[in-house]
Amino acid sequence: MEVYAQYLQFVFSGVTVGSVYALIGLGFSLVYNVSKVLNFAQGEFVMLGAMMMIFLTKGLLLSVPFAFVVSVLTVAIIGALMERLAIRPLRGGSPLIMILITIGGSIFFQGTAGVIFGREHLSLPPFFFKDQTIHFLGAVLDPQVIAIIALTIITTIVLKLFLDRTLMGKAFRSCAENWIAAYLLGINVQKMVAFSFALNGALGALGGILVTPICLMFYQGGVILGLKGICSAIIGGLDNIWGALIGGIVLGLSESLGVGIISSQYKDAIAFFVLLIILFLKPQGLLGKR
Amino acid sequence: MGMLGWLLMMASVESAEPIKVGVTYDQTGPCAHASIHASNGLLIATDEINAQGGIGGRKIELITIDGECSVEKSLSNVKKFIQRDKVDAIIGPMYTGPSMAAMAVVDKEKVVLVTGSGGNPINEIMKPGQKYFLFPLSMGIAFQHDHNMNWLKKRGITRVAVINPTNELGEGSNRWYQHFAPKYGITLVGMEKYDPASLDLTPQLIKLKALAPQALVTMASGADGAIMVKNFHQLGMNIPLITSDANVTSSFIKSLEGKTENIFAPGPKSTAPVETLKPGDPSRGKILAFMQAYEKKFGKKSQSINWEGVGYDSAMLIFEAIKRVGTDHEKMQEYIENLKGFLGVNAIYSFAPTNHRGYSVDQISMFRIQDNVWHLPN
Repeated sequence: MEVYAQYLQFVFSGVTVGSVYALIGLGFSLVYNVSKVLNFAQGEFVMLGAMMMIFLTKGLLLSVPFAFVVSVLTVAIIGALMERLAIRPLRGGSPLIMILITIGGSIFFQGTAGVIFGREHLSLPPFFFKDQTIHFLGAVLDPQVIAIIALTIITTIVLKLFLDRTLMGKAFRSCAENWIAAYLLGINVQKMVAFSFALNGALGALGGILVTPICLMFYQGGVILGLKGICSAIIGGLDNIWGALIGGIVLGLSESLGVGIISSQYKDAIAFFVLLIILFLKPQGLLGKR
Repeated sequence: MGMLGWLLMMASVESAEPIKVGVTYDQTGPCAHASIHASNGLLIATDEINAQGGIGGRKIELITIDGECSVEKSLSNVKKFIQRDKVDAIIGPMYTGPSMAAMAVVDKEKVVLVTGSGGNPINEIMKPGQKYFLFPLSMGIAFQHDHNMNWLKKRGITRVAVINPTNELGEGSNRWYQHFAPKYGITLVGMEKYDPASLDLTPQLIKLKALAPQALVTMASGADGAIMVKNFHQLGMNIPLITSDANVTSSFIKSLEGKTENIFAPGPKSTAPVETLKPGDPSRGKILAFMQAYEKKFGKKSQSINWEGVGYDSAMLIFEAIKRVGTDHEKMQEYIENLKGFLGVNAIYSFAPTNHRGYSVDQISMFRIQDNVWHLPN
């Protein structure tokens, strides 16, 4: 096999992993943009969505589209409940307290999922192009990756249109800019924040369902995915909605090229080195505005 | 009068001090999977002995505390068992790190501890003239690698590629493959490493594929095991992939989503569908009896017999020693260390002062996934 096929494979691998990070990072930047809360339970929404989908399709043998809708809606409701029961009572507290609450939520979701869904690694079959692999110049790519990237782009465009063009979207953004001013203008701020958590839950669940055929899922599987998601959102720029996609692909590529060209042992070291360089040069992220 | 007699009998049973066994298995935490199955095996063994009236009229009492997959918690459990409960023997911890920590304590306090840890390097670190009280009832990494290399050589395979995680298990595996390769005349054409949290292993696999190996060996298990199998098939690698013994479970097969060609793993005899064992094989009757007892107690079929078997065999080994030599700790250690041909669910154990696992290479078989079941290849 020729050497360039290997390099192409490193790139494909980076895109595969990066697409997973990007889809998860998108949820982070969404909630951050609306409520200025960094939700560390985002990774658990990913896990819960995937576990629900596995339970509904493999345990209860429901049809895939129906199970998909039920899983996404259930996690959206869990997100809204989390806001109502844990975030709202302490609204206005320091950001540190908010972050600690979301970390608490994340531990709670892990424990509960471990009891309900079991502790084994579970998988889902791919939804598109079953049993096929894309071969290109000697390198291979999982078609699920294309589905993930397409979905990340579509979701980002839909979100962008929603935030820019609809009344509710504008209300959403005004809450993020200055919630006291928004409140004085008659916007129901609490409802908006609850809605952003529900949306966050739905996006997380969607991500979980799509990435599970690539990387499997178990009750603690959301932790590392969540961290990589935050990382992608920060690399790309938290305040730009396209940031997570760019950040995810940059992070995925730096990991896989690092593994391929330098050494597997330095995978995370190389990725964090890239993160540091980017943040030194552009502290607001690649697409962030000053 | 009947009532009074019954009460008197109860009193006399109670007056016979129970045999206390401390159990520190992991009920929660990332490594809990194996322990949860093993606990079920343990309960079956205890019920079996207590139903016979215990040992010498003394019932078995299990004192169970969760080890939480943590070194500190497991170690504090072991100390509690010895100092507070004055137990006669200890079962667990299952995980390598906690079992190594516990080993130091039980050797000092001279209490027999039986576990299932595969990564504990006891056989490799034992010094002659010193007494060791830990007995891990699993094939362990050295026997497993010896067996795999022997199996490859018998099939005329001489070019082997290794891919292992960058953790203690992976590093250990690399060393054992390097150790056994010259013995079997096998060339290790390439060695690659990966972070166990990786989501995609195609970069490492494509490098190895370019070296044209005849077989690929790995200690990958669980999620990274399943990701490796998927990437291995995506790259069209049509050679045997020999994975870790930890994968011989039905849940691993489920996680592969049907991509099961060319996947092998070494396992204990009990892994095979019981009907494939020869009628004269003594293990056959033992495994069948265990499966029946399991179904009777838990109302469902045995889930993961090799782990359940670890729990059952651990308890039975301790009970056997107490039956023969009583609860004197040093006599128990000496008895187990010299016990030969002890028939368990997973293996026929033969211990020696230099072999605390009781395994030998001939107690291991190579399994292959066929029709979504782990089968012994013909």
